[in-house]
Amino acid sequence: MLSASRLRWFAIVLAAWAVVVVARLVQVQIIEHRTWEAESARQRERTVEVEEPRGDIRSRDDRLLAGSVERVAVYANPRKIPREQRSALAAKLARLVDRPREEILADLEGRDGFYYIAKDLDPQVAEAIAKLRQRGVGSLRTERRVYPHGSLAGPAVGFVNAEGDGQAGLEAFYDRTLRGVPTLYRELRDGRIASTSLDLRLDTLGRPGQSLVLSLDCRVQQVVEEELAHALAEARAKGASAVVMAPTTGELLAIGSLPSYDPARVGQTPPEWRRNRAVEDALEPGSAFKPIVVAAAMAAGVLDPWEMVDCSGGGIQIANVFIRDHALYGLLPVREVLAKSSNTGAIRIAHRLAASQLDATIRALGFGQPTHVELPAEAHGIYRSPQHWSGLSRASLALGQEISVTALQLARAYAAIANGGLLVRPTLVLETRDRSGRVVTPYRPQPAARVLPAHVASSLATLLESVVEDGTGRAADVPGYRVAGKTGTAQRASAGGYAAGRHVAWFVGFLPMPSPSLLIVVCIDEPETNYWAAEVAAPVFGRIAGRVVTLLGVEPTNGERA
Amino acid sequence: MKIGGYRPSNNWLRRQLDTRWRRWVSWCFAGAVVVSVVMAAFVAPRQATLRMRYEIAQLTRVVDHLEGEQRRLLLEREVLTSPPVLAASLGTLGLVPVSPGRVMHLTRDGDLLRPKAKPAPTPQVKPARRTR
Repeated sequence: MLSASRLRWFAIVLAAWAVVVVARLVQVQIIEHRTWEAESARQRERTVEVEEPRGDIRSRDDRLLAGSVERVAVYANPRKIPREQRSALAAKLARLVDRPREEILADLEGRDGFYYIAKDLDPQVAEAIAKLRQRGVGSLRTERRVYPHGSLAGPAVGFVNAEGDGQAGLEAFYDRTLRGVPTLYRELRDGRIASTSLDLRLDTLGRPGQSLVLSLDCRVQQVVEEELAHALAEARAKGASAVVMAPTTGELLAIGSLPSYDPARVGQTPPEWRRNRAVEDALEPGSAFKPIVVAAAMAAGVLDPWEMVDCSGGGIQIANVFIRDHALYGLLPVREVLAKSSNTGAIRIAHRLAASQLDATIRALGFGQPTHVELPAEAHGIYRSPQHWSGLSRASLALGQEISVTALQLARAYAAIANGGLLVRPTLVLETRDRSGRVVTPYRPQPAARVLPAHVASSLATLLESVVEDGTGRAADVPGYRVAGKTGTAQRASAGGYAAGRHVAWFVGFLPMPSPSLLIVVCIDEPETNYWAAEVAAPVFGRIAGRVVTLLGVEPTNGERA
Repeated sequence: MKIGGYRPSNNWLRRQLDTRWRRWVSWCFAGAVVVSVVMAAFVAPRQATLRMRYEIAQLTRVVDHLEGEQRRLLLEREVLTSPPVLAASLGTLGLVPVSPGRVMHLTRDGDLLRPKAKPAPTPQVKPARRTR
């Protein structure tokens, strides 16, 4: 017999136990209700993400530069396929996916769990697979990215990886826009965490990717790439790039970079071919920078476009360094300084400016800063502020040294000279459209900032005409059109100095004067046969400009009535 | 008591038939007709909707298929008319890009304007400096 005191203790222990159990129940069921409910849902449900079709990339002349086609992948899960059915199933699948029956059967026998039998199949295969009504075999909708024009504008368009993620060019920069929003389904799972496929509930309705309409014109792009390829082969150069821009709006009509690649076969090209030289390579501009120094001097009011500059002596002594000129010149007007590309003249003009004045114009024209074009990995270029300048820096800048620029930066700066002093933002994307072709993001030209007085820009543009008329840029002439531009030959900078025998040839120009509608930058990197811009880059400009004005129907400025 | 040769019979009784069932059946039939009519009135549009949904699903598949086909043909056309492909076949066709000097422009005034060619540039003197 239990004594009364023992019974009391027993009751107390039972009561305490009951209190603990109830407290735990309150904690789990009431206090931590949300946490455990979420945990339960996590174990019970699975989110299935179905990608929506990726948007297209189209040129302004409505050519498809990148698009997606629907494809199908067929999968199998041998665990769910009875052993005796596998042989017959392999025979049926072999016909559908065009693979040997023995190979499929070996996979069905040897593999354990989900695997793909075949990918990149015609969408009609999905219907045939569904008709098989075979448990453990199914099809999934996939996409293949296609680039109908091959390597045309390849570095600008970019490419996607096997998972469909943008890796370079516009494909990477606009990945989220092109990708759209995937549709989400919630799927119930059974006790063995296997999907029941009974209750596939729509969670979030997706949105197909938007299409991009580019400012690129496929015809102009083709001309640019053809001429660059011709120049590359002729000069045996390491690389070449060119930019064709509308100077008043900043719209890029073409952006060429060679060697190039076909985005559909990106794995077969060396990595160094994949970069877009026009935006990723920052190089010294050489004499193509002289007009910037002249613009700074004219804007600061220390240079009159019609005055004479002392270019005598065959060179000039700056900070214990004698910088030679190309020839013995005397007094030259500013237009001749530019036309003959006189080093002495440019240095004397630069030395009229205070460091801060020169710095202000260089910065205002966007050097040392990205242009914010819609491409990834854009180089900022190298430009040091005046506190880091040496006694030689102003002279070096006058010759286009101690600064590195991209072809696009140079195009933007020259566009300010061509359009009357406004700094435009280079742009590649005009608008985005939805799947049905409705405009989602309409084209809104970025407001341009005034960086040069209008009279300075127009005077300088007129001065630059002399470079093509009777200066170093005569090969850039386009019959019937008034062309303004500037050559630039620079040595390739390497660690601590300049590499011997490695040069960069530039030509930047615009036409038709006096209201230019086209601005073209040509850059030939490390030409071997001849490195002078006048003979390597200027003719390329001339050929590109000559063909582009015909293509776009630009009226001649020096025309005669037929 | 038992009387020989006599068998009791109720043949003389006239059957008392309950004829109310006819009314019930009539009411039930009428009710069924009313319910059927009402149901038909409700079901018919739904059935039509269902049929339309089925047809829409079928047609959507056809549209998807045709859109896929259209896209395939579009891509094929893009490839065939691609500027690099056309440029590559120019030589075969004996075509060359037209030089600007050979193009005449129709102005807004209706005049034909021919670009005026300049004299050929003189060869450059090659200076011996690295920048020019």
